[in-house]
Amino acid sequence: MNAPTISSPLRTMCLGHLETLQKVDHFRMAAVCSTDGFPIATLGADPQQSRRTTAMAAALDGLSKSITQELSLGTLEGTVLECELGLVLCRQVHASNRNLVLLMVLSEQATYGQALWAIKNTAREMAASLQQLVEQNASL
Amino acid sequence: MKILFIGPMGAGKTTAIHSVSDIPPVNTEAENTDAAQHSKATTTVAMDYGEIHLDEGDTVALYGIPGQNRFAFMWPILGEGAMGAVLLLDHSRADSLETLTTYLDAFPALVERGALVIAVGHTQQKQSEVLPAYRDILAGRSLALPLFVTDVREKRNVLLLIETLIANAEVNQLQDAL
Ligand SMILES: Nc1nc2c(ncn2[C@@H]2O[C@H](COP(=O)(O)OP(=O)(O)O)[C@@H](O)[C@H]2O)c(=O)[nH]1
Ligand SMILES: [Mg+2]
Repeated sequence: MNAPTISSPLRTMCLGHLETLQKVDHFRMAAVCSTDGFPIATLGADPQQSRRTTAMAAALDGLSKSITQELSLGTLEGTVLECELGLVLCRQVHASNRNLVLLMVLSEQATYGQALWAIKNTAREMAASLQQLVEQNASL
Repeated sequence: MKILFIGPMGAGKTTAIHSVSDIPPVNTEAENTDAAQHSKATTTVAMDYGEIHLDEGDTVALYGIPGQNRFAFMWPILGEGAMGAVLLLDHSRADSLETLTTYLDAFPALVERGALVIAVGHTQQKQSEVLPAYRDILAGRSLALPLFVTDVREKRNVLLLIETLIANAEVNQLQDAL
């Protein structure tokens, strides 16, 4: 779903990592967006819906960052919403000059620990890939 | 008391709250990747927050919205319980008049209560040259909301907008009571 119609290296890289997340039990959708809310890659959601979702993820991420700063808790790593019918995990992907937000949604049967482990790993690997891309192409 | 700053990206909502706040404002700025919409370096993604401390010990809470349509879901969240709003417009943008219409439509409850002050910024022109076109749009909807040319980088200008909003709200309340 939502195949990369624009064949950008960034989108292709992100989609590759999202496919790893897709293997997590009870996966519903995942997305990567810019910190100001534009979708870069999505898996498991239609484009219109994912645009709304990534704008919300960016707002959640921005607000979480402010709270982290306000309480002097260092760098924000991620945010988790525990919902009646599932989990929403939001994770920062840092590279020099470029930050992304990674979002994963799982249904209610999902295990918190497995989900957290998976998104942490994926965010770390994605950060490494992002750093490589940044170094190859400064205008990313 | 809670006041909202609304308006499109780049109009000056974040700037206005920085100009008047008595506390270091809360920011949620992210890198702006939408150069087509506006060339500024960062953009608000969730909210701005500042406070004015009045002599009587009261606090006016100032909330700024993220202006882009894709963040419209934040508007009712931040608007909850607001006594009114300052609508900031950027006169240097070609679509500034349409933007007024868009925001009047997006905040019908505030418009209906007359709890809105409109401030047109980013211009060197005189009020008499700038405002008639905006006033016509308001008149077309039988609205007579306070309308200013301003520069929100100046604290006293922002204070004037807030004072007008509060005074107007008090008058409206009186009229409702009569
Ligand atoms: N020339 C000019 N610049 C202004 C005026 N009002 C605000 N600005 C600038 O316009 C930008 C507004 O950005 P910001 O406050 O982030 O806008 P927001 O998206 O509404 O929060 C800032 O760089 C301000 O310094 C004005 O009346 N004239
Ligand atoms: Mg702003």
